[in-house]
Amino acid sequence: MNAAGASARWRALGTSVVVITTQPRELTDAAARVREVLDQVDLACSRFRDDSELCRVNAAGGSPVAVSRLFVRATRCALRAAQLTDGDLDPTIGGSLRAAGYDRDFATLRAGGAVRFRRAGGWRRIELDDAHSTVRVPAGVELDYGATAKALAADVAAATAAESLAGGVLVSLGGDIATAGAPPADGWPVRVTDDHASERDEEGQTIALRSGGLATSSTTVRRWRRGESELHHILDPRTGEPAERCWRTVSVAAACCVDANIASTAAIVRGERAPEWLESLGLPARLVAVDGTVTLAAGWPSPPPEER
Amino acid sequence: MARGATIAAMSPRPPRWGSSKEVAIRRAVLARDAGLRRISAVTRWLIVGVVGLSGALALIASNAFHGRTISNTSAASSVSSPSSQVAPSAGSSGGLSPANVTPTPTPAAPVVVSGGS
Repeated sequence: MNAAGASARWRALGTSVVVITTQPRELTDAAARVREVLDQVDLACSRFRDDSELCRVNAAGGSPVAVSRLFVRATRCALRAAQLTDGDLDPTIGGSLRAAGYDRDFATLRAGGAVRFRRAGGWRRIELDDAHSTVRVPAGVELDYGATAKALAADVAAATAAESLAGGVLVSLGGDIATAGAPPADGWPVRVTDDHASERDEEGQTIALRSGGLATSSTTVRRWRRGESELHHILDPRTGEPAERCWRTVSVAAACCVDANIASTAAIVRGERAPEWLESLGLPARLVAVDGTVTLAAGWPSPPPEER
Repeated sequence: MARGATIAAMSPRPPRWGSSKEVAIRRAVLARDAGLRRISAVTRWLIVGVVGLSGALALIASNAFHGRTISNTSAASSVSSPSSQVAPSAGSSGGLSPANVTPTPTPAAPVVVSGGS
């Protein structure tokens, strides 16, 4: 139990899950609903499960595949992300990740030889037939919904849990946070830092979140070696190479976790142009440069003197 | 006799198949009619064949290139008007949306950490 209520923690989707409810007696029910949603998202969107819908679409050799409504929604979400970022996020990045060596669950990834980078297949080649619930990608193009599916899962899980709650709920999937229902009186206190697995006093900033979602993307985590290079998981779809390291970590607050995550990941890819872009969208953001310099955008609160 | 001759003159003249010229004409007519019937039959079969072949080719093409010509199911059209395509949950339509309330600084102890994963 903590100031905001009661919490439950476990692992799913290859990362840590935190569920917090403002009403402690509602935690068990909320956690059960969140588990159910995460199981469904995993079965639909995992790149590392042969029985997932995403793997079936990738393996279909260019034929359309009948999919669930959840997968249709995840596909729409991924296509929207690509459109809104002019392709900085691209759901056809699966082949690029595989080429870069990220071809299995990250926990089992080992160092390997040098790689030959491969650009993304091109998100405009995805064919989504909403009416018939089918998705088709050309043979050889591989989907990966890593940039959006986790955030979508957080949003859906929080909204689903809140349906049966009198109080509020926060769902964090690897630090991508969605909230629903009435927040605590002073908001949800969240520590923003490089790694979601860090201790809560790690270098960073604590803010109060009262609505919507918050997401942080970072090049300091999910790193692996190939040949002489150390790679990270945020690839530039245009080259298939890890995005240039202008920002090591970007945190964004938005109306939902999906929007926050789209903006934070795209900001890493955009590099120097990111602060201006985030300002134009009115999305409060905290960008940490590789040297540790912090840039705040669009009304992100300044830290108190002791945190500067 | 004159009466008899008149009656004989008014009766239809019996065909005289024996004339080699007329037999040749008749054979030519029959041959022409038979030829026309064959041409007509061939034409009908050709039309049936062409229609059937067109259908078969269309079917093969639709299987080989499924989806490419269905403009309203392509990715581009799927996202060309996000507001009509995306489920009506927060921030899932139109552009990226800011939260209703901007985050604020807080002295409270954090309950969760947001960072890369």
